[in-house]
Amino acid sequence: MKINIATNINSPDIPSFVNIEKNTLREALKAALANTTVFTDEDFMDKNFSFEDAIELELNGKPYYSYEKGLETELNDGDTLKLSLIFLGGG
Amino acid sequence: MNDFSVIGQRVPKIDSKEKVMGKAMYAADYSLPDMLWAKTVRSPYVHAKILNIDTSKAEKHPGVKAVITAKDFGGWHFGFMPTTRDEHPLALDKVRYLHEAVAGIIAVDEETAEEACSLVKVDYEELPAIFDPEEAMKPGAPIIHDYRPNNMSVEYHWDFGDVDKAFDESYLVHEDRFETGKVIVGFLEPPASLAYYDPSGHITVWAAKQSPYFHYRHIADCFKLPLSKVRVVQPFIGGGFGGTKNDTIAGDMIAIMGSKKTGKPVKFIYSQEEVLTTCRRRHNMIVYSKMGVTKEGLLTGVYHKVVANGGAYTAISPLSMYLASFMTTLPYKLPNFRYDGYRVFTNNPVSAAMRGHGVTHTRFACELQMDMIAEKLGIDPVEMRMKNAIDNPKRGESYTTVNGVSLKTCGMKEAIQTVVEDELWANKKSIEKIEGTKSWGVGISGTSYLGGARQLGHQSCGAIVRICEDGSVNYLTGASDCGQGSDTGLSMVVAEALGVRYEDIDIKRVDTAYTPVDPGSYGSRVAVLAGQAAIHAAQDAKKQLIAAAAKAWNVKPDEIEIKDAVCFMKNKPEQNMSFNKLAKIACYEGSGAVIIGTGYSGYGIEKLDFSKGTGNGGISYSFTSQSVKLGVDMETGKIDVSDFTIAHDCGRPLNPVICEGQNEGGAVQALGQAIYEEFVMDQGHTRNSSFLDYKMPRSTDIPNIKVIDIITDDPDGPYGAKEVSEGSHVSTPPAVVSAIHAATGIWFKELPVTPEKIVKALKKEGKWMGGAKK
Repeated sequence: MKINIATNINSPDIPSFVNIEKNTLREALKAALANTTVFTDEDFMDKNFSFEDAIELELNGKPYYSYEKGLETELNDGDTLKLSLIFLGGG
Repeated sequence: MNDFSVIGQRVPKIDSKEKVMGKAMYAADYSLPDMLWAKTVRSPYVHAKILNIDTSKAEKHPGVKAVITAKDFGGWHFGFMPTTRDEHPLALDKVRYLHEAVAGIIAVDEETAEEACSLVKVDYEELPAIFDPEEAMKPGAPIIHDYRPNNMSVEYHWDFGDVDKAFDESYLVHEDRFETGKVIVGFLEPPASLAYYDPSGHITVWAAKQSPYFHYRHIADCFKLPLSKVRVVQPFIGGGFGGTKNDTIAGDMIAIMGSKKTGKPVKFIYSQEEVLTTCRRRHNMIVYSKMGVTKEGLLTGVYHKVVANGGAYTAISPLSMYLASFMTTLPYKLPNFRYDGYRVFTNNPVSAAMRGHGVTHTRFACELQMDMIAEKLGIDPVEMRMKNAIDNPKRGESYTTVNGVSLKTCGMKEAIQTVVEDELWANKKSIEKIEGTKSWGVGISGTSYLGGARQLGHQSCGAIVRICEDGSVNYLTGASDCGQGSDTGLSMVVAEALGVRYEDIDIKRVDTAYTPVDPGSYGSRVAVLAGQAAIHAAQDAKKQLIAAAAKAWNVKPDEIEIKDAVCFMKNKPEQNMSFNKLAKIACYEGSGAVIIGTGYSGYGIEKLDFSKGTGNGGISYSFTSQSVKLGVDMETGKIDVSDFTIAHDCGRPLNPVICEGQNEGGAVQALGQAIYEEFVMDQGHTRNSSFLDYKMPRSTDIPNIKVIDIITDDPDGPYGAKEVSEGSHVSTPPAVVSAIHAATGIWFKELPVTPEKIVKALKKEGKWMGGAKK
């Protein structure tokens, strides 16, 4: 299943799409961030896993929090996951 | 006509007495009983693998209490964005710039700590290094970070309109290469902090930070503590200017880890040599600028390729490279714009933010290029600026650039006109002449800078106004005054909004245990965003007080006003009481009440898209025009800068004295970058690592400076205010170089414009007056 990935900053580590077998938001997010050092596999398995201080997430234009099943939300082929990377800093 | 009681008054800074009397406490002034000292072991190589660190001898040295290495931090790393956390508190696997921190010594005193540094034995494997960003971009260059094998730290490609078509249809297209210098902020107070990890598991840090809440988050994350157990207390700060004091540095984490290991408070103070060789500095950028115009001098399009020397780590550079170009579409109307930005890793100290962040480089290029084009077309440079300048939008309307930057006020044309009518420019023809070997010239520039920076993630800021029972007022803010005077400005805002006098406000400065969150001083955000929070908090407190007065007088609240510390009936002002009496009534009547007003900034954000270059990065934008008069000695190349006139649209100056001072300071700091300052780098080594050799302007170098306020009364600023002085920082270098051209007839495209460069150019052009009798 192909999931499109959009970001607020082009990062060579984050692909423009991912192919996932298990069609959950958790798997798509994990695949999108696989080449980064933001989270480990263990982080994704942690039941208390949260990403609010690093990433703002939207699925098909709607905020992640509007999806009742959260990271277990089932995805469809062609869905778009938008990752807005949160900046901590200013100068 | 505005009827302000406090805003616009020329009052002394709220902290001036303490500072002038030498009583202000800075981070280095703090001590605790049993305090230990931290010093940093630094790499002698610019690029090397760390094979082994043997701390055994250092640990046994008398007086040494602990030695810290990267392993102590468990691999924790940090950075501006989740995908650019490429920095560790101490170098982990390799060092990437000379003097990068590799270990920390905690000892009974500074001397012992310093001695023990030489006892830490580090085995290195030296690696090939690269220092020039354009060389580092080429295939085959030494790789600095494995996660960026092409050394590309940040890369953007933006495209608005049709630049190629615009150039094809232009009467003239001008192409030039510009380069800005290798400079640093030059604060007199080096980074310092006192840290205490107490037995109850709380960390308290007294740290010189202009963004204390970033450091507080870093500490919590690194030491795996809840934020509630981390406390950053901000002392007075001796200058920030962006970069180092916005971020966490090795000394900070060594001190905290040292305190954790020893159970004692630990202090560090960097030396100025450490600052000048290792701390964040401004990016040095190469700007390839292409500008198209019509025959009449109207801008048709601009293309910028910017190559930035990033140094060894990413730091805040995704924002630096965004700012380098998102404002190219200000202050002039620009229908077509394309940008290719490359920020490249090199084995140099880290480049980051500095006053005028990002904009200084490309605005320098554009301003000079406009002057060059004006000269070629035979158009007056003032006329060219005026016909291209953005008009001040009508009230209720806004102007939006091709890349989505939106503004409601723009005093650019008024600023240019003001500078032109001022005697410095008005008497230009009589000024520009040769006296002996000195040739005089006058230059002009027009620039803009954002205020109220807003980015995704942490832009909320709050304020608390507490009315004490006797009518005195405490104002709690997380906003950081790093010398720019925001404590004063914000106190004035609170006083105005509450209806009391400036001297009634007692400000409680940043202490993350008590003050509301505020991201800190950067992007000229404090007056605008923290100012809005302050107004809301004051209005909240005022509402509660008026409710108490209404109850006491048995009238409706909207019949009452508070002004100048007097509460009165609007339609019968002779019915009144003092603010102090009202406070007592409000607090003591019935069962009593606690009057606390809270407020936060509600501007929200428009999401920035760094990839596309869209989004509105500021709440409002300042506009500045500046003229400069200087003399160039045509024999020695020495420059004597005699006069600046700065017309600055900051919306409305909350405190004119502070605004003048900020403009003067910003302009002089930029003068340093225009003609004096430059790191002499030699294969990653800083050869001029003291203020004796890194020449910053001294008091004798400062010209006469006239600052003229342009009032545009921005609807989005507290009492109409916008940012002040980052604009005049950006305006100074192009105005100076324009004046040098007026004096010599030569365009200089690389900063700083030193006497050596001038003499070389004069000789090349056959204009050198060497040997001429004075």
